[in-house]
Amino acid sequence: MVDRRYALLGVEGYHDQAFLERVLDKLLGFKKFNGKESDLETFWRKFVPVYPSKGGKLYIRLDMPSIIHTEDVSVAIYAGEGTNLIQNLVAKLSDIDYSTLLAFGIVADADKNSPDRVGEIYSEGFRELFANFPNKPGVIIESLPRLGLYILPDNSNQGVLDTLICKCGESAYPEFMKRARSYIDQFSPEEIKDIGWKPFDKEKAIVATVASVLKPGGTNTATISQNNWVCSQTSATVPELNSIVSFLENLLMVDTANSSTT
Amino acid sequence: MRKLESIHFHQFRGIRDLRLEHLGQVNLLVGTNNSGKTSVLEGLSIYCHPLDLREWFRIARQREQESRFSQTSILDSIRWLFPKVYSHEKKENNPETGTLSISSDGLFSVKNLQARYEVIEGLRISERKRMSKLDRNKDDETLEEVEDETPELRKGIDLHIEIYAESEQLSLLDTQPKFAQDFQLWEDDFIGKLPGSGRWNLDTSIVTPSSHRSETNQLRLLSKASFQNFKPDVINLLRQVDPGIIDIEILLSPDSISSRFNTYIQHEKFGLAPLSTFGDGVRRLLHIALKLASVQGGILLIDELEVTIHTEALQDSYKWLIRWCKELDVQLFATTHSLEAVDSLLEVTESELDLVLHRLEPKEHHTRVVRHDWNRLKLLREELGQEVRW
Repeated sequence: MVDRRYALLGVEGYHDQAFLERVLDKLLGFKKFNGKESDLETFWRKFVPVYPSKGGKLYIRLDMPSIIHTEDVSVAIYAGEGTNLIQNLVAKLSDIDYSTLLAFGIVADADKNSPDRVGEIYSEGFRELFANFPNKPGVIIESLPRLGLYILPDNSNQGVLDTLICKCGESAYPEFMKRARSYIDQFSPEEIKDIGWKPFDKEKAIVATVASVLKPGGTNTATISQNNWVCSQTSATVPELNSIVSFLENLLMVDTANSSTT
Repeated sequence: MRKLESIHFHQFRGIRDLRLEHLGQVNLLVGTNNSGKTSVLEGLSIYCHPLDLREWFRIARQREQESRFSQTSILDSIRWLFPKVYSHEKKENNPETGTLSISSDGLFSVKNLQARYEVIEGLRISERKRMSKLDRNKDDETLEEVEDETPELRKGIDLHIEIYAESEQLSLLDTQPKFAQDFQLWEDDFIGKLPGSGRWNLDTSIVTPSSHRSETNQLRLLSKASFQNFKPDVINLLRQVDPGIIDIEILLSPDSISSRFNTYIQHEKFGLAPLSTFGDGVRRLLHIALKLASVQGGILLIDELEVTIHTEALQDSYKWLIRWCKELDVQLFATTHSLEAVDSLLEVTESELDLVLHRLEPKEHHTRVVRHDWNRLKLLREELGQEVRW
């Protein structure tokens, strides 16, 4: 067996983390790490949080990336706290020998800015560590480590993960999506203003509506992780999903000939 | 600017090419066992007394004294300050040599220290007299002096030390003058004079994990602290560990059969009791406090900062330590294996250069140093729970 190599992917939230994990698991032949600390590879041990015994924040969520691997590559998907993603990842990377990574990539949303502007923000943010971090969405730099930037939903339009998930829903759950849209469309602009939706919250609400049927009581994160929004069928029919699958395949140098799909 | 803004250990003991940059008031050294943390403290101590052979000897022997296991000769101990050359690099018939080199930036006038030793051999040609029994066959224990005519082969070392330093006395053209000193050292020999030993020194003091158990110089340090009106604050520090402590005194016990003075603690419960009867926590904190006061304007070196101090007392003790490091203009270098010590120091410091963590990671040809300033360290520890010791 060859020595396993390591890659780090940064995302802006837990449902983005669940999405990438699902893509790697179901479409690129990765296996989820079992979550037992005793089985964790040495390379990722530094990522296990050990909070201060005094002055610590008791309700903070454990800042642990999800780990997923093949025989050759182990990938950690780290979810930063929204806009703190750059600050947190720069701090974490400065504490490890990041030059040994196979790849480092960012998958972010274009909810407030255009994909090009988001690219510039990330390129600037990681310049301290990676002088050649890409500033254009969808670009992979073949350096050591390999560097990649993908801006959801499709590297060219504004949107978020749920924009892409809705497109997957049209393929996987067309009837549920139709009913969910019909329900959400009943809310008037005044009501939406009173509730205080942000841009692209409508897509999130549609996914949540379907999720409430597929996983009653579950979150968008749970349904993305466990239902068929991301599967071989949607990968074949939704170009935007296929695009990010290809991006990850290339960034992580995945040999798809050996990977299994469902 | 600080006494030391950066220091570069080119070669010292097992360390090669280790740079500590952008040093802070408090510099915390972390890393796995054998990463070179203690060697950094030792190297700093020698660098700050570059021509003082007593300091070279003291540092060379320190680890053996700590373990009370002294089998290495003093000259061998000196040789171990130098990086070891692997045997296949040694050339046949050439004398054994070694070179060490350290350089720095900052207010301290010395900018570079280089030293080289060479093992030498000599014959002792003076006639040595030894004592022998007059008659070996009898019980007579009377001894006589006899001459031993066999020449004795002895080994020693030639030690060449040179420093580059800034000097106010020299013209501006000599921006980096060089001072060199040669010593020839033989086992069991007497060194008559130590020329220039005090020149170019920066006050430093080293606290080892067990030096608080030896009372050498304790009385002198305590007297000095009293004269500096520092004693009340030392007592406040000790009260962090034992609130019953009222005062510290240097006394001669009326019951004592010797005329030796000792350190006594006035305690609410026990009355006057010798310091030696108190626990390690009190004794070590007192030791650190007195050492700190003795290096005003200089550098304090503490090996294993957390040793003997209960976790509940760490924060208050460190608060005291940081306050007095600032007050007395002391730059602190401390090693630790304790995450609680790191977290406690973060709690009691508040600006970027107050606290800098340097993690040493030995590689094949150099030691990689991961540096975290206070802001990054605070984010890593308090927000992200990052393990920063290894």
